[in-house]
Amino acid sequence: MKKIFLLLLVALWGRAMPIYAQTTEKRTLSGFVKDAKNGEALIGVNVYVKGTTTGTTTNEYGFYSLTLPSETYEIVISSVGYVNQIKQISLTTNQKMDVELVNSDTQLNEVEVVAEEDADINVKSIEMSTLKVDIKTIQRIPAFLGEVDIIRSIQLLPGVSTVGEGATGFNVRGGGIDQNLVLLDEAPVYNSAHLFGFFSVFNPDAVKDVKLIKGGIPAVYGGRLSSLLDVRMKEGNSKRFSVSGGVGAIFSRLLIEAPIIKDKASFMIAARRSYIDVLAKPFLSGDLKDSKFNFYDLTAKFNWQINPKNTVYLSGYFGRDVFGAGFAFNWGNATTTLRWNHLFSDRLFMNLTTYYSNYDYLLGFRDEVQNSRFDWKSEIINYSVKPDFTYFLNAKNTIKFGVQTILYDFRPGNAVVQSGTQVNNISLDPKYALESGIYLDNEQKLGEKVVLQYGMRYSLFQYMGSGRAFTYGEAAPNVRRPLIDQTNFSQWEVIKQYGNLEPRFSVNYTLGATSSLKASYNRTAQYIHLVSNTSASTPLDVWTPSTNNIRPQLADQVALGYFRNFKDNTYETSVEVYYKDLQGQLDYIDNADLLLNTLLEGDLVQGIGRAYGAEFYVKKAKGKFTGWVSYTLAKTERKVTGINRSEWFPNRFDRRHNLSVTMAYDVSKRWNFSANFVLQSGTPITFPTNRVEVQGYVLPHNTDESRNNFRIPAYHRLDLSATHYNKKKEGRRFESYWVFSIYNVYNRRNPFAIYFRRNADVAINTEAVRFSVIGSFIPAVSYNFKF
Amino acid sequence: MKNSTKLLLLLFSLPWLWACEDVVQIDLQEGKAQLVVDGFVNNNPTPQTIRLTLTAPYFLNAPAPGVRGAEVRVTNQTTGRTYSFADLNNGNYVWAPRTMETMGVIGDRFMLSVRYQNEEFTAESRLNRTTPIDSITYKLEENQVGQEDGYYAQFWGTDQLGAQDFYWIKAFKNNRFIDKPSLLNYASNGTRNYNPTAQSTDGFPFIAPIREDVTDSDTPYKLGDSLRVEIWSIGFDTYEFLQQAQNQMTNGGLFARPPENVRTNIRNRNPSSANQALGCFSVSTVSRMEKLIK
Repeated sequence: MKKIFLLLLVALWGRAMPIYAQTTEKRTLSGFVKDAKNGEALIGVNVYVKGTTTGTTTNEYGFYSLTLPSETYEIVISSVGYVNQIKQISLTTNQKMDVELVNSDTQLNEVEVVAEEDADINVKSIEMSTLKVDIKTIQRIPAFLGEVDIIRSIQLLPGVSTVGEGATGFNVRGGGIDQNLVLLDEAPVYNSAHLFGFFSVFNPDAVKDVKLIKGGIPAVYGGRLSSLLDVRMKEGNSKRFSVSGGVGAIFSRLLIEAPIIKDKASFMIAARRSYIDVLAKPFLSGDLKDSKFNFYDLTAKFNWQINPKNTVYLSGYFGRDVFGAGFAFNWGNATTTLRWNHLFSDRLFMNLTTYYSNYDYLLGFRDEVQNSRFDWKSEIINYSVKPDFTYFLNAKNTIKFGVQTILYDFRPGNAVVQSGTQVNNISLDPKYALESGIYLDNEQKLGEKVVLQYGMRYSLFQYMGSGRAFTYGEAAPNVRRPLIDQTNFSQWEVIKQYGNLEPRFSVNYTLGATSSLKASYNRTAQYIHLVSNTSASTPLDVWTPSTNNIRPQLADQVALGYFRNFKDNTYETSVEVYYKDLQGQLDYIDNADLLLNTLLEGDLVQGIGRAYGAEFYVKKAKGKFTGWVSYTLAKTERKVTGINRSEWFPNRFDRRHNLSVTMAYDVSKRWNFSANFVLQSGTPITFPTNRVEVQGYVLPHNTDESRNNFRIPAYHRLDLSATHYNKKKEGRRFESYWVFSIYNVYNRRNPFAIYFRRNADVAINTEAVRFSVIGSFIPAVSYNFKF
Repeated sequence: MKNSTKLLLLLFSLPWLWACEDVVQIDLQEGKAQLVVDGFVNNNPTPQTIRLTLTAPYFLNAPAPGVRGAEVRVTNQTTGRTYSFADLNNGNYVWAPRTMETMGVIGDRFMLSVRYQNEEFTAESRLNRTTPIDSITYKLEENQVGQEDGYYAQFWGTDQLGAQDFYWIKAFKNNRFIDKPSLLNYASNGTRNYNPTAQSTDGFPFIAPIREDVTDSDTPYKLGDSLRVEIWSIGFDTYEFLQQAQNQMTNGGLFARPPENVRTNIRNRNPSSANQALGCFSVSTVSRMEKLIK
């Protein structure tokens, strides 16, 4: 396989670049870049020849490879937040150069910036529509209840929104929450929320790097339409034993990391647990004495550099939300990833990932006295193998190729109901599917001004037995389709197969030293769907594969961007516009029955969608005063036969304007203040027009069958926080700090939704109710330490 | 475990110590008025009423205007007999039986016809079997979270073996129907799971949530109160109507669904007419039991 690929590549690029094939001998400089303090691999570090654009960046594992004509060079190794290094290299033979960068720790020292004419990576890089937030920045944003949260933080960035606070997930450029591929150390996370959505499952202590790709998605990634959220876990400190932790309003956190073999092998283990239940225990009596309500997670990683050519990583996550009091309700994710980095040569890098991911929930009622019970369990399990290769052909071309295969095991509902002596199994059939992908991608520099990235991904989805495949008849729009036939399939037998070619293309055209123009196009295909028709997704929502009745979703996106930095990269600015065309968007007939319904497919309909917008971003990255302003003007709509008179209607999470301002100010070495303001248009919602009276009940009715025909009032909120760094004792490693925060400072009751109900006193009267998830200001304090 | 649903809701809301609801004024657009048929009749030898109204602005906060001058008839298609419902000029149309006369027996098929403003609306219903109530029990409950102190009742019964049965369970406190939307109580066999291809819950004793939904936990029974439980046999379309009606009346919170129109089994003879009706027509047989709390 690899050979065929290489032959193909050589044939393609070797001929196109005759100059390089014939000039002087070429040599390769390669190695790993790490953090000098803890030995962690650094991602996205620039490694380039001083004064030129010839260079590369380190990959997700800190590896770089640069092939140049045999000469002497001054190589610059630079990364934001680290002190630049310049090395004199006489490249007469292939060389290994591992580099350790020293953190510049802007808070304490003035950064010694090596005067470089070049613009920062945001301008130079081929990547567009990509947001990187380092965990240190996230930690400074005023947080809800003082709990630093990755998903809530990325919602402050352009193009990212949510249907409302407290809702699970996030929406990227008008896409649904299930259109984001959320990866934790390469393993997908199917429900990223704790406590329905107030917190995300990522323990910020254990996270090293967060990257969100909204557009120009490289061919390496597939499986979801709208975005990729790539969360990388921290590696354990390979230099020394270290502990950090904190006590906050919601969680207590603890992280332990240590070397196993110094500079070669280390581990990290981090845990969090909420303790509302512990605090509430004394106040509970009677039935509630045994109640449970907590959530916790455990994140762990082990890595071992066996030799310079081989490194293995084993990482895992396990988290659960547990509720119970006479009933049981719990849900959670579990992931395990095993990766092997191997250098076939100093120019061919491979990462082989195998992972297991599982999301499951359990809901159960039990009554021993009356001998009745109801148990309901649902799961989505998948296993994947994914070898990815990077071939550093020369200083102008970096080629990536690889394959991936995912085996899905859907268990949409295993349910047993017992009443008296009667027991009945009302489980749904499991469903199986295989998703495969193969891709080839090249990042190519054309002269000094143009960088191209082009690639192709082919994805193949097979919905397989064993199982029953249903055939439905026709029905009028917005009416349940009747079952007309069913066929049994044996194990591994393909019921339905879909294949898609997904072209990806990006270009960066340098306009000057500090600005560039970027454009991209990508097609993405998505084969698994989250079945959910509630405003916020619930933990009970079930994923379903594409079947003979459910088509895959497809998206085509074009984006155009202008990037410019000012004042020696102190200010980074960008403007991007995008247009997205979506097919196969899942919707539901009125009154669809989505849970424990064997004939669910008869209640599903698919439509088309479109989303477009403009994103403006200004960031001040340096100095005592840092922060950003993000403004998004956007629209997202869909059109589904039988819904809203088959006309276009806005998605429930559509927000026309979305402004956020985040700033931090370092007053002194001891005090840091930060503030955060958001202002967003209200989301659309469906209001009734008339009332229908039947049997004394008043039913809402919408005469013209409109969907999302009104808008709830705008959302705005201000948060403040102050961080106090305690004095560090001379010669001690112990560091600690306090964070004081106020969420929703001016106490606004932002509406999440408006709904309608009967007046509690007068049965004939109806009223509109504004529901605010947060109805008051929320102060919080947390204490954090590290040694 | 009483009121499991309520307890679940309570715990669901625990994280939202900060959540709040405010009643707000909203200006709604008013849609075109449509005919509404409230046609729940039974085969008891008592006067049967079908009520016709028009839809009204959602916030009208007054009884919907009754429709006069319509012609309402129900035909027992099995026996061929037609029952004319007399216009009482207040929206109610009544058929009063002679002594011991009923509209039919189990298995009979019925057709409703409403002629109104030169259009004819029809609906069909089959008179299905119901199931008896075995007993009603009650218990004093005090100091429980999320509910008032008082007597909490349950009715006991078992789904009929054989075909899929649908029931509407109505509870009356001191002869007054408990019309709280959250207590709208319906069953498919012994449960609320309608899953046509799964092994059905045929012959199940009614599950706890159905048995318990005869007590309003805001105003539980006191000594001396009476409770009457009725089980009305219904068809699948009426089961769906009740289920959807409840969903729409209790839709809210973080996990609200988009409001959707409740489906109707009333059809205009002319499907392309601009005037379509709403509501439900159902012919039932009723089993009942009464209990005095003492």
